[in-house]
Amino acid sequence: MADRGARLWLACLSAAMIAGGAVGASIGSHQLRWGAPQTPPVWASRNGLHGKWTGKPLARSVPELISIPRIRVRAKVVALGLNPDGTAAIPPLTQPDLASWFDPGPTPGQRGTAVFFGHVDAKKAGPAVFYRIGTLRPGNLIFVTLRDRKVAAFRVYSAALYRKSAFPTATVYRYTRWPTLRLVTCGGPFDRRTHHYLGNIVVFAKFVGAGG
Amino acid sequence: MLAGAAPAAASQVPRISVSPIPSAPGTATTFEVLCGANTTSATLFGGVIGLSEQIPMHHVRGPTTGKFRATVMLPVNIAPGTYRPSIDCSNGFSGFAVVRVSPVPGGGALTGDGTTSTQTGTPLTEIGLGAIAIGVLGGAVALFLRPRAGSAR
Repeated sequence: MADRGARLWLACLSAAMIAGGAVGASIGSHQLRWGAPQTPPVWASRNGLHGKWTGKPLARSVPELISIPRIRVRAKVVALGLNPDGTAAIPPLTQPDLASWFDPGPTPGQRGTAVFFGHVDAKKAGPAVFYRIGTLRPGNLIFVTLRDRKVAAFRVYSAALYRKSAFPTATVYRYTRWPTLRLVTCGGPFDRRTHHYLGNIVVFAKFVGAGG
Repeated sequence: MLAGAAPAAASQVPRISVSPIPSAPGTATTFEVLCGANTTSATLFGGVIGLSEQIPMHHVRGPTTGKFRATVMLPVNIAPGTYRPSIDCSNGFSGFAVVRVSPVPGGGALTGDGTTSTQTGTPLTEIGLGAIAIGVLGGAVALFLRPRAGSAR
């Protein structure tokens, strides 16, 4: 009798596990594994580059490492220019942990705008180096280690999502009397037909000093 | 940055500086010239950078005599490269400014392949599949486990 009871109990438990497992597997297989990259809220883009800057800009020195403690990013930086079609060159998708710096422009800490690119995601890695930059908000800090061993610190003052078809080239690359920095990655809705995100997230930051 | 490799004698070449270096299309670029004494005006010849042929420079008051400055907006369609507009001082000095225009990328960047926006399957999938496997195994055991000999039927 005890055996029959045990068998019945085991059968019930097994049926429950199969049913529960099926529900769980079904839910899990329909959910995004990592979740689409977050985009900055509108309010985060309302801050401009205000105030009077009285600091001293740095001499030209190529960036080697970028570090964003708020989103646990610490990435090597490569210097890249333009593609033959005139778009900005970015690291290959096979190196999703790498950030790039637009080397025809100023270096971080020089007057003007130093622009960094990084992937938001990539096939094997899932989330890539700039996956979380959409969660940065005004006040967050970005550090860039330069070849001359100085560490330039920048404070985020704005973050926004732009349609790629209306990318604000002049705003992103414009000359600023302050040394400023931009982080650029993909974001917004993903177009499965073209296999591209429809937007770019841009984080704007200004130089606040250097150490090292 | 100092420029001024003018064909004139060295003493007649004014000190010329340009900022920023590099400049970008559609942005403000400032030219400064130190003409020295006995100068009443200075002129920037902007034709080579797609601007007016003669741009009068403003006198900069200060301890340095004969200093002139002009800030211009570079044309948005100026091609990347190095340009050498000349600057003439009214005292006869003349030199060339060196303007380096950096290229600016067109449009946005393709920085992602959509993996995080498209790839489904959370750890719940694996846990669920595991639960199904254990359930099947348990069911098989329950079905095929023979009751021990001597137990009640």
